[in-house]
Amino acid sequence: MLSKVLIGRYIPGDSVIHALDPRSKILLTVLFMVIVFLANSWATYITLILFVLIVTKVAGLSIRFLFDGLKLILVLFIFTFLMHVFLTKGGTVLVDGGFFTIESEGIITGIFITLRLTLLVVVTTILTLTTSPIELTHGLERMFQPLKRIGFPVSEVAMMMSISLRFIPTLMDETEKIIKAQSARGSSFRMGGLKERFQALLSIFIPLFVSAFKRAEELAVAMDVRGYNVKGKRTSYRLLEWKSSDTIAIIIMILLAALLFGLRAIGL
Amino acid sequence: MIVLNDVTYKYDDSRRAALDNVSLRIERGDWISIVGANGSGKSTLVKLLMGILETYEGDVSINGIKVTEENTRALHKNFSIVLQNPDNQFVGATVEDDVAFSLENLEVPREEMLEIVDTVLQEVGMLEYKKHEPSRLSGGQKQRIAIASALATDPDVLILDEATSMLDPQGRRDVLKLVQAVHKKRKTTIIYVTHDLTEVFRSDAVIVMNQGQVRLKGSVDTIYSNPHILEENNLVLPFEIKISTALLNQSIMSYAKLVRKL
Amino acid sequence: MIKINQLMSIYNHKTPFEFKALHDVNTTFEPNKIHGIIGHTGSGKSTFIQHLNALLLPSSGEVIIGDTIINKKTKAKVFHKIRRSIGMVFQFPENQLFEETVMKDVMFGPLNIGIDEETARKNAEKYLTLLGIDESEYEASPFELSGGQMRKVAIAGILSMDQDTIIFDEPTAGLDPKSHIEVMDLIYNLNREHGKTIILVSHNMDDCYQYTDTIKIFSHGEIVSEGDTVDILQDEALLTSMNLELPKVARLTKDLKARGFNPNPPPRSTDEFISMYDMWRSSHAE
Repeated sequence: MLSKVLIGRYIPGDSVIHALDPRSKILLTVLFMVIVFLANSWATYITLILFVLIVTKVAGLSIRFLFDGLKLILVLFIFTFLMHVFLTKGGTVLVDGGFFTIESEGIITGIFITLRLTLLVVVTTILTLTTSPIELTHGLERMFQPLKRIGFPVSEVAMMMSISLRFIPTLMDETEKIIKAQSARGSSFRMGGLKERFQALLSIFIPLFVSAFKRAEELAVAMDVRGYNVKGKRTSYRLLEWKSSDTIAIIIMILLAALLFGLRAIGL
Repeated sequence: MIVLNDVTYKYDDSRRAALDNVSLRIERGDWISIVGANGSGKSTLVKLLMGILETYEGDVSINGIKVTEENTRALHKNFSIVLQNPDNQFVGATVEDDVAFSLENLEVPREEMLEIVDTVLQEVGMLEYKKHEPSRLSGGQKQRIAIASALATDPDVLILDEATSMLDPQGRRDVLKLVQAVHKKRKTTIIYVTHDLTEVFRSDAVIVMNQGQVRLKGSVDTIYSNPHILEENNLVLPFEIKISTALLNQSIMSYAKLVRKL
Repeated sequence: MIKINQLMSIYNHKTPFEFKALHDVNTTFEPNKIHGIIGHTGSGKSTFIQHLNALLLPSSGEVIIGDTIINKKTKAKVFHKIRRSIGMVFQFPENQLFEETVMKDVMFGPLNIGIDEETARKNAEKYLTLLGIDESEYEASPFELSGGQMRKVAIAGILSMDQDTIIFDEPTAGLDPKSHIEVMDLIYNLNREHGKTIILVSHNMDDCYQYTDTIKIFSHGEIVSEGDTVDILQDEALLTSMNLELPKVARLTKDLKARGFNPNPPPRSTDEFISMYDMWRSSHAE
């Protein structure tokens, strides 16, 4: 089940989208999120959907796979949709159930808001699917560089983020192993009374903490002997290079915004 | 050259000395193996050699300069280490980031870094894995990366602290072979800590430890000629030595020779 | 008797991360024997043993344990029954310790599967003693023990559930030589003295040769060869093709065959070799 969650996962590839500078990808995602809020009609939403489908294709991702990943947050979508169906009033009354009515405006707004939510989730997923976590961290570190002047520890936070990212797979594996080991000892948090369930949870969390602390301790020694010093100056192995493709991507995004403004202006 | 003179060390929470009057001498470019069962004091000795332990009795000197609290860092600067659990020593999120980590700390310019990263990855035969995430590699591959990361700073001394004990046989062989190649090519001083007596045969000298003390030291021949001392110190004799000692009353290391003599 | 029919196992089905770990595994485990499983890392052996006590469910095919069938649709209720008949000692089992005292930790498993407190304590004492853990350690925290001791307490935690079959996944990984021998001897004893069926996953060819009765070789998600240990582990051509080494004792025995040293049954451990060769040599000298 968990393996189907796509947000936060990365699929290596060599598409144009993969090759973009992480800074421009973060910027593009933010721009797109703003643009989504410009959409207010069928024409504008269809334009955005087409755009996202094209980006998905260009990034070499399977559309079906992307939508499979959305299934998990389906509940959220349905909830949003229903809320608007019942609460938004206007247009013709389609159903009159006495204490409630469903009106045409409600259905349309429901569809639009759900589409908006879907677009936001999909575009963020595309960002993480095509950008490795380390690139994202590095991109953010560079973008927040100016904050250093007001004393914000940008590099230290970035180092912490990158180490966390590095240890997520290790700790996930570890968690799975411990859950399995305790299941083999008959432990289950799906069965038994409250006390048994609580103990089943402890049997997973305590070993996990013990191992995480042990790892942290060893990692600290390893970093220390490899010359890491929080206050020390460091050079950077990774170089971020703003290429012409990044500029082109930003221009395309601005054109998309212009197109939406245009569609709205002519009343579509 | 590293010299230890009557070094004794106790952990705060322990009554027994983790190192008990240890004296030894490691010549530049030598391969020294430190052998002992768990709890024999070999890991404490490694910490001491890395300059991590703070207060101990006795003297340690490196290249004739006595190690003090003030100069520890400077003197141990050219020491690199590979730890037992490959998962806990990776700092970088990808292979190349990890190899570059020490270099970044030393403020090596980026152009030089690019070259060094490729060179050491080539040396350990892992260049094609440059962009990989460490969690997707096998144990043996992870240790080869750890060795590459250790070599990136071109150390004078490379310490391997039970670097093979968590690996499968193939991984062990690969790592041991790699250490041999590194020693031959770079003339790096190797300090190889292990509980497996079959891994020491390439060493210039072997030190057998138990209960914080050095119980036996000498050449590989000397060590293998004292099977009873090895067994007394909770070690298991290599197959060839065990058979030749029992059946031929002598220590034979080479399998071919053993077959001839039997 | 454990029987496996057309077992197939797929991870992350229908995603770009899809991976077929087991293709079509058919085999049986006879009771009261020590069964060895060998193969390279990634050959599917770890996945396979997790199917044996329903930690993983088959993508297709079935695992039959006594009168219980595990397949794709097996419900969680059945798991308890399976875990009462098959125990699993994972690699580095000391990572599963969590209770305040050694005794509590060892009793955790038996209490979970419905063994009463008194029997659980009795089992715990029995197996802690068997593993050489002194009574004075029963109330100590498991985290204060040495690495080798922790491993033994963790093993006792599985054994005290008193199943008929115990699976050991690389039980000696990372142990020093002395603890290694102690753990292997314990496993042997569990079978020979206590009648347990043992399934041992190991990279160590010498251990497999010395301690097991049968061997199954895994490669690329399939069993490529299985049979009696002596037959399989003396088959140099087979092992070489699998990129595995002959056990040292088997190699030496084979290399001495030309001189007339050809005992039947052949020596399986270094000690056995020494005494057999010594005997042969003295009878030969006369």
